[in-house]
Amino acid sequence: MFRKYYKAANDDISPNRELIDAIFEKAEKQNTKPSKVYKFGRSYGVMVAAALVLAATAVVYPWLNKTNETPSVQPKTNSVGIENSENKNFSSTEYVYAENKKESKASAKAADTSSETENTNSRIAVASEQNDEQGFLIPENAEKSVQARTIENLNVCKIASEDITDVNEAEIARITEFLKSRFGEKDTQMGHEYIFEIAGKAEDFYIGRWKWFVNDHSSLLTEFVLNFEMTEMYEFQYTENETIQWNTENNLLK
Amino acid sequence: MDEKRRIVEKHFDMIYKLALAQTKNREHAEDVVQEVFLRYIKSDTDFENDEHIKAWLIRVTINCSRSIFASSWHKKTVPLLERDEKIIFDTHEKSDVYYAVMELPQKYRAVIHLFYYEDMSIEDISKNLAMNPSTVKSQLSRGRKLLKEKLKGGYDFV
Repeated sequence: MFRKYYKAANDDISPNRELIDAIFEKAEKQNTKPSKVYKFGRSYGVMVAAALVLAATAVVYPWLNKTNETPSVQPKTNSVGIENSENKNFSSTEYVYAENKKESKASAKAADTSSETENTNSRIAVASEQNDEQGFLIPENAEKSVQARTIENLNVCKIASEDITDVNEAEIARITEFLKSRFGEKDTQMGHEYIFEIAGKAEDFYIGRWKWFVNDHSSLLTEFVLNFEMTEMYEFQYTENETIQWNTENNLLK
Repeated sequence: MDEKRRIVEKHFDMIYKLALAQTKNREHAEDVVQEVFLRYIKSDTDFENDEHIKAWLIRVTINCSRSIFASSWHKKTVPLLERDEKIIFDTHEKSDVYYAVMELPQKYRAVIHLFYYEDMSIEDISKNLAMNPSTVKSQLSRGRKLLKEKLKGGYDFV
């Protein structure tokens, strides 16, 4: 009897199957690369970034030695290679590392940008060192593109609970009013009422959830960050260790 | 992607109901469902068959449901609107039974739901939840005992 009624009760519950499309859309969006860094904190990120750069160098170094079979080129360490290189065109490696340090100092606590940073730095280090040893010339704009790949591809925000502060009711009302004026009170196609929740604020943006009300319950549409000036609003995704990331190419307010 | 979509559609209801039984909240259940299937879509695990996928989805659902409340994001979320989201059933028996289960501690709810709704054996539950069969057995037994107390012995727990 218990089984029968418990089954019947569960059979009566109908999930919102529109969520399936939303899941696939979200999965597709998450496949696109993010493009700007927002980070908090200081020393931890610097240490992790430095360790990863060293680790990446250590990993690719033996491989580089193997791939270069030209006997006239002597293997060298990364730092020696940069410092002693007479060819100024190969300064891109040094530039990238310098930029990384600057970026890390400016906005550290980027532990979770590490894998992306590591991969990017590895690729750049490999490319630069390969170019260096093979004597290729790097085009004039190479530094710019390297910088873009190194810094702007990252868009990870390390958030710990202490980084989020509460938003007062007046502020919430002001933000909600703005969002409703911008997106409307309800979805024009489905007719579902919109709900905007503000979970808190970080250094220079609010964090919120955009839902709509379907039948008898609210359903999450997306989570977003909104800058204090309310000119930029992005969907974000959770990454590991309580970090979030978003793509600055998709400003919902444009 | 078509194959992944087929799997998502096939197991969507099952995962949602399990997540709902775990979180007791539709919104959180949807969060969990979304997280579980996003992980599945991105996963490069070499699944052997549908049963393997189902077991994987169940395990991830339980883990996600447990972790969702631990997240500082959810602790920090301040709902602007409080709405009564209680599910209304057409008979009091369904309602009694369902809400009696919802009042159980989370660990018992998982076992009870999988045993009574998904018709899984103790062995299958233990595999899916990566638990010892004797632990599953004792949780099931403890869950039943609590349910009998709540339902005042009005239902037969076969």
